[in-house]
Amino acid sequence: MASSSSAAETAKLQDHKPDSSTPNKDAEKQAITLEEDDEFEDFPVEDWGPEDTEVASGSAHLWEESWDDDDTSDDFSKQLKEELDKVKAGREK
Amino acid sequence: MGVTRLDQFLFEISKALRTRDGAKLQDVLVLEPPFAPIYQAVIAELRSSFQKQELLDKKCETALPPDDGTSGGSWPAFISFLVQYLGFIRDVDVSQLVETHNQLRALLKQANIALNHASMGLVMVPTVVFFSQTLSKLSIGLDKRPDLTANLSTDQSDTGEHVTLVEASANVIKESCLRCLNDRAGGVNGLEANDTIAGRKIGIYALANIALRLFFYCKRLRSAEQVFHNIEQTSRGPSGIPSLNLFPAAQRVTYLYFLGRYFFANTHFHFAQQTLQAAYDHCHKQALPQRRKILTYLCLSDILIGRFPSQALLSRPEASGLSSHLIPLCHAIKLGDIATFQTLLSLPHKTAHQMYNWRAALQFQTFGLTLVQRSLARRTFLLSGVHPDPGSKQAPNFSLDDLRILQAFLEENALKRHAPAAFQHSFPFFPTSAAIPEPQPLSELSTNLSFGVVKSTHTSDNDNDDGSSSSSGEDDDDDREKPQQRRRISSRARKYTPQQKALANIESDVAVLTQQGYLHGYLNHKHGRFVISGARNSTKSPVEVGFPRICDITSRRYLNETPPGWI
Repeated sequence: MASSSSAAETAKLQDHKPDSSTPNKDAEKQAITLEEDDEFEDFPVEDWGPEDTEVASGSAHLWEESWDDDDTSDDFSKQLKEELDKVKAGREK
Repeated sequence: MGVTRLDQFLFEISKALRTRDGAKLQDVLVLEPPFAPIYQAVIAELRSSFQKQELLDKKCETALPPDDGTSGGSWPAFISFLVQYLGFIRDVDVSQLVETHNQLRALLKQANIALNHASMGLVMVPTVVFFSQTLSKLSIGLDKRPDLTANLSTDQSDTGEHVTLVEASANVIKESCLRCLNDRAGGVNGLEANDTIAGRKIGIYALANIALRLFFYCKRLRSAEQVFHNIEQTSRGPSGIPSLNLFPAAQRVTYLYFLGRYFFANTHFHFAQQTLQAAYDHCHKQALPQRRKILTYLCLSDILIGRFPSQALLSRPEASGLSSHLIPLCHAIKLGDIATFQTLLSLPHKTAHQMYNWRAALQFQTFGLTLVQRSLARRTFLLSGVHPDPGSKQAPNFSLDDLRILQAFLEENALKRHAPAAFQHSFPFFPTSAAIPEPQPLSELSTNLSFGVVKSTHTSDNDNDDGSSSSSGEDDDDDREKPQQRRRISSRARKYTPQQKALANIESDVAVLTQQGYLHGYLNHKHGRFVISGARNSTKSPVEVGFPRICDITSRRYLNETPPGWI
């Protein structure tokens, strides 16, 4: 239950750090393997401070909230427009 | 006779009780082989001289004087626990996993009774957490060995319901958590005068997390809900509980992850997003497996409330591989591309497999599809809607029949990519207008379909009327109460073409989108159009007025609401 943030504990966490020399191999393997809804692993350390979290290292643009697409010149919109025109032309005949 | 190893062992226990050192007590009470030489000597002595229960009782009672209320000591429930513990290490045969599991579960039950002591129970907390962790690992390990558990008779819960081995263990651990929750030590919110966590409440989240892990493992969300409910209820009680912020980061993050998963499973995506975002923010930056789990469900929740993960987020190490599933889904939602969206969520597509594994398929097939329908309505407005000039009295609008044509076109495309049977199996809740069955009697038609066949002259040109209720209550009553009239309506229903029925479905879908706030305006049933209201007096464009941002709608809906269970 005791909380501490010793160097030894940091070392435990660093065991999970991916090897920077082979990140792509691991990433590819993970990408093609289906991820199971398995257990949430125990943390190797019990406590840490804000300096050990990602938030402390800055805030990038992480979420898109205005994603509506007004472009009607793309292929998808063209297909839809053609379908509308086709159906309406068929009715007029 | 000199001092034996068992005497030394009991002395260490007695010392831990006297100094009320829970960590020391837990350290002494080892569970898992291989045992250190000193424990092997204790076990040998137990086997040679203490096979009888009474002898062991007497030995422990003699070695551990009772608590006198000032200096720490033993109490009857602790003696019973210790005798059971010594019996456990004396008899345990780890090659018999099922038996070991049962013995350990019984031992934890006894530890729970010892935990209940008002003043000395606190010293048991680390031991109960440690035993719970071991029982949890053993239960999951056993569950993965059907060769050992196939013939086990299931336990019964208090309500007489049969429970699995994993759930039975989780229930005992939940009981441990409840005993910590119900501790009345401390003042306001279970805190000491110096604002530290009082008494056994220190064990709340450590134990809750172990129980939650097991409940999620065996897919017992209702039992997980009881844990969250108990925490919420106790926090409102007279003794309260300390804020989650006061507990170690590992406990905070793990608890918020499970709470977020619970909200996600129950389609409370906004609450799921809030709790998972906090879990992600507080997670250690180097704990990649945990960050990945949290981020996965954070992204899934965010997408369903209209916030899409950016490329920057999906490029993080913990997001590896997520983009191949999430970006196509987001793109389909953006475009209103029902065909691609349904393809992505239909087996055997790899994204569909992954969504089922994440237990997120149903959420996307229902709530995700609503977002796609909203985007398709938006695109219909952009492609063929009426966009009046500024100053015109006419309101912007679009044809529901155009929306029907486009939806049918996309659904046909989706059907072409799949065997019809497989497709219908995957989307039982959304029969496609492209695959409309032959006319059926009205009594067998869906609610949506009945919208189009009842006699109605209701038309709304009123801005305040969403126009979604064109069927009158009178017709509904006739349908229920008069079989002859039902037959008459039924024969009328046969006169409607599949296109008219599909249009009725579209009206129904648009009414739902409007009711949920995803579209702003009303249905004009008579003219078959959706009219965007309020555009003339707005500084925003008609498309912005008619189709508000999804994330703004959900934020407004949950304004001032905090996720229950998060104290």
